[in-house]
Order: sequence, then structure tokens, then C-alpha cells
Amino acid sequence: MGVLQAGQRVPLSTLGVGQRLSVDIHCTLDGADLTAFGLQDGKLADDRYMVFFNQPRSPEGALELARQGVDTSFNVDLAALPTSITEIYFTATHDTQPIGGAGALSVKVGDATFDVKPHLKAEKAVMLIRLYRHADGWRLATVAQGFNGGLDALVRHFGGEVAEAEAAPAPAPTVNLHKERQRVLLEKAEREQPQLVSLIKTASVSLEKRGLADARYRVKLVLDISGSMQNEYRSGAVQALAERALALAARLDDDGEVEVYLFGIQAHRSGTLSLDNVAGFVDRLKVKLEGGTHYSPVMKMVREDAEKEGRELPCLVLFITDGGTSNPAVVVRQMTDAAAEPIFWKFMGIEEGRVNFDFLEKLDDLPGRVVDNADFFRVPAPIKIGDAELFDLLLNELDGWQRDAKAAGILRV
Amino acid sequence: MALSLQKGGNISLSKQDANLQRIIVGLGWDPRPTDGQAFDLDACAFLLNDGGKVRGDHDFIFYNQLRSTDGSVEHTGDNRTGDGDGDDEAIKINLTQVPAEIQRIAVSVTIDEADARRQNFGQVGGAFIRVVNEDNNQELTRFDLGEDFSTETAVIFGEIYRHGGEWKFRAVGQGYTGGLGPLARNYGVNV
Repeated sequence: MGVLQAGQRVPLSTLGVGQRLSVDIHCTLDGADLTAFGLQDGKLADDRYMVFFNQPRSPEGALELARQGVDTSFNVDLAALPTSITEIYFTATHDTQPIGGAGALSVKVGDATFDVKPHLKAEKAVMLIRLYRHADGWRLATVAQGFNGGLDALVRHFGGEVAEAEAAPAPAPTVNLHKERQRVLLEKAEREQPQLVSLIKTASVSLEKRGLADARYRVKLVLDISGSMQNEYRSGAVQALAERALALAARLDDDGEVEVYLFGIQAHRSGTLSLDNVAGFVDRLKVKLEGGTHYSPVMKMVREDAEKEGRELPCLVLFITDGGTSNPAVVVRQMTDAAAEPIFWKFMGIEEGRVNFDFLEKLDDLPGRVVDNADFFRVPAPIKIGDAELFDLLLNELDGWQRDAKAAGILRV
Repeated sequence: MALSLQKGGNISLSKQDANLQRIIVGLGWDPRPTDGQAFDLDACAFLLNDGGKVRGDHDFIFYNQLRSTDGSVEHTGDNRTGDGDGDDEAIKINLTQVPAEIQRIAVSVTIDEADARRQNFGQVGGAFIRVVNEDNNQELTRFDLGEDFSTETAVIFGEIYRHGGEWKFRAVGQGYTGGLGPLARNYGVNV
């Protein structure tokens, strides 16, 4: 078949490939992201068919990122794709630079090649080729068109009605820079803390499931140091939770750091958790357990810090406790006042024996708040919950709060 | 209810409406969804004798020559981007005034500056041609070109032709690489 021109449409069968094929992309632009979008009639109806470095496989494996780098390969098994996927776009995007800046950019399928580069101008997101179902079998169309606005514009192009109908939160406009930092963090994790890489990827999937792939938050971790937490500290469960909080921060937070607070009777600022110090972090805290559980002082401290850090980014507070608070009336007042602030409170109750979580149980129904700014879930001790489930629980309701808080003017869009 | 045609299909316009006198041949396409130079598509019509040729260059109706000498065929003007719903460009034909020696009117679309802009019909989505009764705005027939072309820069969308005292429409969807020049020469226009 040889060389393909832009705008050409050819049956895949003429390219010397069958139902299983490889789409090979040669792109010399440093930092370019190559993504395959499995679409239903032009729209991204199912996020799991957005296959890229963070999600390298569709659920059944019909679409797979097999190789990354200057030479990127996607494996496609057309016969295994669900019928709801009617077309696949292969795209190149860059957060800051036009894709046309690549020294070379071409696509090879079977014995045909398509030189994309000559068609490009200022596009930061480019649709390279499209595979699509046709009455007489799959076809390939060469595209080489795109959007100067980059990934955001491309996703809008693919998103359209589905996202609008569900009133999904609009991605933050600075998503591209954010994404660049995410990538740096992931690379750093790969180099320095490889055990965190799969956690970060699992966190990404949970975020994407909730439409929060582009969400940005400061992540704060609040740890109970009441005496009854002793076992969790000893067993390493708290360290494990800290690592998961950090994995979330690597996706949500520009600097990928987590501010850590301890509370028992009193509240303590306990430094910042990052990729640099995560190993053995909780041990180094040398926690002195305290004989009580007072939520209010630490909540006040978190709110003050959030206020000082400014309202540009909302806060996600992961509040880990194994007991009910003393003086719940004060805490109720705190929660009610804090509802007007761009902070979402996620309470995780570690249940050892009989624990009175009455206050947390009632959080969802706490009246008098502008928006529902908190959620609670409980896990039995010792914690055995899987990571995917844990991230899902940690992010539950965050999307709803984000939407409500925006509508109420608490969150800036 | 207008009849949708497939490529190569034809329909009797006269049978659709026995009193048919004036029609609008409407052409449309989607504007370019991506960034870059807009798709500027230009419609044109060739008035052809029974040999399939124009009588002279005046039978080539396009943006620089909007009316035939007898006034039976009129191009309503240029749309530069494909924006807007409905027809992007239209050619009005008064069937009762078409000279007897004209057997066919071929309606084609070309892409302006296709080579310089590296554009072709494979990149253009949502292209259609339809025939509307101008007197009551009823759509008589329609042809969605969809998948039918690729790297061509000129396409004959359809033709209106005489057949045994009737006027018929055929969905052609025939592409020409090389653009307007070869297409026009094919019909005997000196370009």
C-alpha cells in the first residue's frame, strides 16, 4: 500500500493486516503523549477506552499501549473490541509545544505509512489516524488535524453531549501544566519509590472513574494518635495509609505533597510528606500517643492553614480516626462553618471492636450546611481493604461536592 | 417525505410533484471542527447538451458567473466556511426555462485552494445534496455522500437530467483528483 495521504480512507484489509494489528507511531517530540481514544459514534462514552501511559489497557485488553517512547506501539484486537466502540482515534498531544515541532512524526499500519508532520501548524493536540467500522469491515482514515488548544480542546471535541448532560465538572483550565507535573512526579516515583507507582496508577483510575482526572486539590492527612491507635501504628497500617494519601496527592496536587497533622487531645502540625521522605515517614514521626480524641482543635488548625494557603486550590482532607470525638457539638459547628470553605472532609473510621461513630454516621444528614462537605466510611481493623476499593472510598462524593461547591460559588471554576 | 438516495440512485422529480417548476439544489457540509484553515467549498453547475458537453463557457455556473445567460440557472453565492445549518450553497433552477438542448445539469463541488491548504474531500464531513421545490419549500430528494470519497478535491454531487419528458435527479458522488480544472475540461469548458 505504501504511503498514505491525508484524508485517505482505505479498508484495513488492503494494508496487509488482520483483526489483530499494531499501530506504530514514530514521534521525536520530547514530552509528547500518545493516546488511543475508543469512541462511540465520535464521543468518548467510556473512559476506560482512553488508553495512554496512565491506563495502558482497555478492560478486555483489545486496545493496549505496548511500547512507549520515540517509537510507540498500540496493539489492537478488533475482534475483541466491544461493538459499542465504533472507532478509534490515535492522537498525539503536548502540554506546551506544538506537535509539529517534532523532527519526525509518522504512523505505520501494516505495510502503509502516513507522514503526519507536513500537515501540522500550531496544533498541540493532533488526531493522527482513525480506525472505524464500516459496512464491509474496518477502515483506516488518515487525519492529521487537531487543536491549538491541546488536550483540553481534543477531549472537548470527543466529549460533547455526554459530559454536558451529566454536568460533569469542567476540567481546570491549567490542566496541562498540572499534567506535566503529574508526569514528573510519576517519573520521580519510578526512579525513587517504585513501590508507589502502581498505587499512583490505581489512584488515577479511581479519579478518572469519578470524572476527577483533571481535578486539583491540596491533600492533607489528619492522623488520630489516641492510645487505641497503637496497633495501627505498630502494624504499619498508618504508614500504608500515608503512602496512599501520597499517591492521591501525586495525581491531585501540583507539588505532590501531603501536609500531615496529628491529633489526640491536642493538634500538631507534623510536616510534609513527599516522595523524598515517604519511606519510614510515620516511624520518624515518633508519635506519642495521647489519651483522648478531640476532632475540633485539629479541624480548626487545618481550616486556618487552608485559609492561609489561599483559595486557589481546594483542599481534600483525609481524616483518619478510630474513635468518636469528644464534644461533638463543637465539631458540628466547625463542620457547619467549614461548609462555606473550599475544603472536603473525608473521614475514615478504623473500627476496632465496638466504636461509637454516631457523629460521623450522621455527617451526611448534618443540617444547616451550604453544601454537604464531608463523607464517612468505616473499615474494620486490621485494615485489609484492597487499594482500588480504598481509593474509591476515599474519593466517594468528592465529585458531587465539587459540583455543588462550584454551583454555590465556594469553589472557583 | 423526501426520498434518500444511495450513490448511483435516481428519482423522478416530476413524479414527486407534477406541478414542479422551480427547484433549489442545496449543498451542505460540516465546517472544519479542528483548527486550521476552513474548508472553503465552492458549488458549481455545468449545463450540458446530449453529448455531455457545455455549449460554451457561459454554461459553467460558478462564483464568478452566477447566472446562466437565459437566467434558468442561478448560483446564490459563496459560503466560505460551511457554517450554519441547512444548505451552505444553493443553485436555483427554473426547470421550465432550461433551454431544450440542455439535457443535463451536473452539480459539483470543489475545494478552494485545496492543494495549497492540503485539503481534500476525505477530510470533509457531513456532505449532502438535496433538491427542494422552491415554490413550497418541500424537499424532494436527498443524497448524503458520507463515505464515498477520499483524496479527491472535486466531486460531482449529483445531476438533474431530462428523461422522457420528465426531470430526474441522480445521486452521483463521483470524485475527481486534480480539482476544478480537470473536471471542467471534462465537460468541455476552456479553463
